[in-house]
Amino acid sequence: MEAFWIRSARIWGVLALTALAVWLGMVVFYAPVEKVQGVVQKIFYAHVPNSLPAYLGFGLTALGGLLFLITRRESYDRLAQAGAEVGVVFCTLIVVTGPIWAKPVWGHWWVWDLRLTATLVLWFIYLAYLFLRAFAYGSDATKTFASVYGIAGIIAVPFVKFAVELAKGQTMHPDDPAKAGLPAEMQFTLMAGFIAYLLVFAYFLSRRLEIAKLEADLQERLDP
Amino acid sequence: MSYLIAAYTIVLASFVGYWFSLRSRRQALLREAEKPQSTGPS
Repeated sequence: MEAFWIRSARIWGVLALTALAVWLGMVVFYAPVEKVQGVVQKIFYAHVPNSLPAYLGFGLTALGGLLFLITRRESYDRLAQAGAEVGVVFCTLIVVTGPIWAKPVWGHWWVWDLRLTATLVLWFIYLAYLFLRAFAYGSDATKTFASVYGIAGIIAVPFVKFAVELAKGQTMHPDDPAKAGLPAEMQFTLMAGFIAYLLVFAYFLSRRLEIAKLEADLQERLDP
Repeated sequence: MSYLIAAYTIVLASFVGYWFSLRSRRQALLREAEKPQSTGPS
């Protein structure tokens, strides 16, 4: 599985670049300007699609951690580490682009409502995972602890996903776009964003896995 | 309009920045892997 991802990196890269170009073209020329918010609403297409790759990355961290604990195979630990790093990239973009959209629409960069706070907590959880991996490199105990931490952290994902429902209307963040009854042009542009970001995610993940494998091979050569 | 440009610039610059970081790390590791293996003190 790891070998497949590493070998396919270039293909993911070409697909991701093509999809990004199509998505940007759709944002500029195809998606309509929203009547109330105006052109600033188009931040929507850059903000929302970050969610799926972030959740997927953290999901792979939990899955890789679980499989590592069961099998003790290093490749699963590398998958967990790669998933967290790429997931944090996309989660950072959620946390950064959200306030840029919120300021002109809500009048505030940030409000402490359930969805925003839960997303920030999720970001901190996996940022801490990356710090753990960076500063406590290598030992089996670190890998075991990181696996358990990565699995425990995934609990935050459904909490973020369903935060708007859980808040029962006490949130400024809009609900799931699928439920909002968007016009077809907006839905297609959003869909193109999800596809483009998922392909970018696949490319980053494959390259990050390759780096982790190269590091492991070098480490083995230096310390057989 | 400036908020819109800022958001898209940050997203695209982050993608390029992370891609560049991955590329640099990968190339450094490949260079390291190509170095002949030491056989210890002669």
